[in-house]
Amino acid sequence: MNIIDSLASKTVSASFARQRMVTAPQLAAAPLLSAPLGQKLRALQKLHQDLEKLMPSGLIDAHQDRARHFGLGAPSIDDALRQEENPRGAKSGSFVKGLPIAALHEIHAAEHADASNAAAFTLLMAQRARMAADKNPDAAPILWARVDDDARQMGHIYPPGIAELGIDPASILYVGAPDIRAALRAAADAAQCAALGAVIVEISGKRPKGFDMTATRRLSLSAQKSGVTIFCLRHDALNSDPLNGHIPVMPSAAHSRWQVASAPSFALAANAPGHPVFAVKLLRHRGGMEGLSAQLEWNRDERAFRDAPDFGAVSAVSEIRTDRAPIRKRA
Amino acid sequence: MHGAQILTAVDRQAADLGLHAGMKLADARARHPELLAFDDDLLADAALLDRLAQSCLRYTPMVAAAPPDALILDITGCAHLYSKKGALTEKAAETRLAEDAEDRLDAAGFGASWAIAGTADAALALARHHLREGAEYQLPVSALDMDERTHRALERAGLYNIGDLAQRPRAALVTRFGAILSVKLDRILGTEDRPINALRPLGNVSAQRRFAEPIAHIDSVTGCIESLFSEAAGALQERGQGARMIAMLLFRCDGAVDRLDIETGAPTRDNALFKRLLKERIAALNDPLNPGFGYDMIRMSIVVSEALAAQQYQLEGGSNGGANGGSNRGRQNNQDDQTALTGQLSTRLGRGRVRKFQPADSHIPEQALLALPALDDILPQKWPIPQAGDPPLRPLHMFDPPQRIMVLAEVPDGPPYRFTWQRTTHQIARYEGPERIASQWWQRKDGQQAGKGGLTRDYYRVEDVRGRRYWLFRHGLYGHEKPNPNWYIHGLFA
Repeated sequence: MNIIDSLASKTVSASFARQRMVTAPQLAAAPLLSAPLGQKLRALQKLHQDLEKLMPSGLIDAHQDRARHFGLGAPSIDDALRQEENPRGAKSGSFVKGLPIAALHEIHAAEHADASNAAAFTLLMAQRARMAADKNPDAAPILWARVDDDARQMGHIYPPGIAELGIDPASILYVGAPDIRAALRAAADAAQCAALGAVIVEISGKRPKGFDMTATRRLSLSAQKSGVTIFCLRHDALNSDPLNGHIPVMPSAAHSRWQVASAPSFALAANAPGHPVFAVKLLRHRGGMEGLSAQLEWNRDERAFRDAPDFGAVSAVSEIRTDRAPIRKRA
Repeated sequence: MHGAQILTAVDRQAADLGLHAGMKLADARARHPELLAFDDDLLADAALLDRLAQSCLRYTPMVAAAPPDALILDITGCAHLYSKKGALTEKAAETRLAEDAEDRLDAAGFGASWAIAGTADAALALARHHLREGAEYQLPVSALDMDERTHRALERAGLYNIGDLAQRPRAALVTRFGAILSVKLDRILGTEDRPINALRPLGNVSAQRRFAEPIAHIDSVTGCIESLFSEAAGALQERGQGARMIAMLLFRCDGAVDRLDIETGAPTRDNALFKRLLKERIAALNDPLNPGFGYDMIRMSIVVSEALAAQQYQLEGGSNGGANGGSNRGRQNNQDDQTALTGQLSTRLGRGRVRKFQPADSHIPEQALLALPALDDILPQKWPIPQAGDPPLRPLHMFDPPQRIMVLAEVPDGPPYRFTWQRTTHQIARYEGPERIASQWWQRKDGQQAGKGGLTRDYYRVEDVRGRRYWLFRHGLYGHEKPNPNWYIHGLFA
């Protein structure tokens, strides 16, 4: 039902019109402005029906038996992400937590230097989505499409580091694309393959070639159809504006948009750097709360995020903490 | 000849003017000042020979290049196509085939001489000396292709022809010139054969089509390739096999050969899948298929095939993985979808671009992994499981090669305080280390020697004040291995 609601929203029908997919509903909408109320309602109803007809058939039924949302594991952010299960049927009143699995999500690195942090966050989100979809990680790999130039500039993916995050590197299918178009095309093909655990496509630049509303819309529709979560990891795409903070330049059809930056970790014994901490900000969330920000720490052993501890007095807390948390043995 | 420039080859016009290979360039220029001379390019010659070998694949699948200037064609059983309804004897048909090749080469501007013989070496020697089969005894001893001294020694002994040699007792020749002379002699006389190094491996199954009228329309070409595949798939089905690697050769009527290779993720006989891969392959070509005046022959060979059981059809009709997509797909179907995707992406982007990761047994960080093409059959290996409670000890991104940084650190082996990388200075707030990784001294020729085993790396996991985590190392032990070790950044943590 979520999907039909989103389709009825203004931006999407506009994008449909651009693709020349809708003809009759537009004709019906033209005399709507000057008509009496009853006629307006009937026309609206017809519009709804037409839109439903345009949806890929069997879309909603096919995925009702599987879990449709994934959470990050940190209670604070999962609670904030909740949405009404069925906003159109006003009486239901039940809520779902987390983000939809069958959707496109966009993750931005706050600054160029946060690329690695954002990549890790994306990978961990993909892992959470794959776990929530109840897919066997051995049988359902995460496809990671990347442009070769990015790999040269920002470093190559290092599988032992993936293993250190608690994900089996053997379950990653890596695609090194010569350019952005090829990466997007690979992602579009992968998005239709229900056998995958998740898809990550990594793109850099403010206005990447071939990455527009149509492309993201297509990705998002494929995700809805196949039930594969798609993550679009973007670098250097935010305008640094000292007054307004970071403003994303390009619109996209993503269901949610996150901004990720590195944050100081919680020190272990002897002031060693601790588990990775992500300063995340929810820039956009369709039908949900926006402007949410949190500091999350990845807990590899439970494969979940948790709220990063308060950083009031680092040295003192770290002392207490070292008592609780197992300390790494040193040679 | 003491720095003189020598002509290595002359074209027909120059030969008519009386120039020949082996002349000095200065002499040739003195006779014909307007002479055009070019540098000898061995690589280009080899490439040209290779191209000519490709275009000779129309006669036989077994073609080998014999540098610098010859091609060997194994035409056993191939000549009947040149005999009019079996009217010609086999020998005459073979001659017609050779004449056809000569005509085509002549049309392309190459003078050629040919010979047919029982063994490759005999044919090669005869063709180089413009003789026909049966004239082996008239060949000079230089046809043996031994070194210059041996040739001279044989001639000094009064043995000028192969015939002279063949009549001498072998034992004496072998004692004087070595066993290799006997072997070479046998090969020229046709009593011993050597295998030729064919241009491409012969497929298990192949199908080909010749056209009376060359076809130039790309849709007809793809249509023909598809029908060839279904022909080959029929042959594969009888063997219970599916294609893994498919090679297609498109022979243009002007002699050029276009080549398409398709590799699949799993053995297949599926026409629809092949059609899709073919489309991807053609779209991914750097220079698009150019039929020119048209192709007059297309050949497909299944280079690699693997066992594939007969397809299980679903009860309600329609094959597996067809239109019936939905939530009721089995795990096997999932696997099929995945291999189909891998095959599709590998065909479009190249097999090296779609990869899976395997652990490698090495403590040198950059050698601890293998990125293998996903098309290969990889037996998944277990990655080491990190210890519970530890933060990540290895970075997510790695620079290859490591990037040089400026570091302020205490000598001799103190931790870094701050470092400058890409013109930005990072103040280090936390660090852990060093994790000392020694070089692989056992791989050195002299084994372990004090101070000569290569540089040791001291790795530090550091975090700067803004919360970004880096993996740095000092290259070499201060004082012992290097007076002033350099620092490098090797990776980025999450």
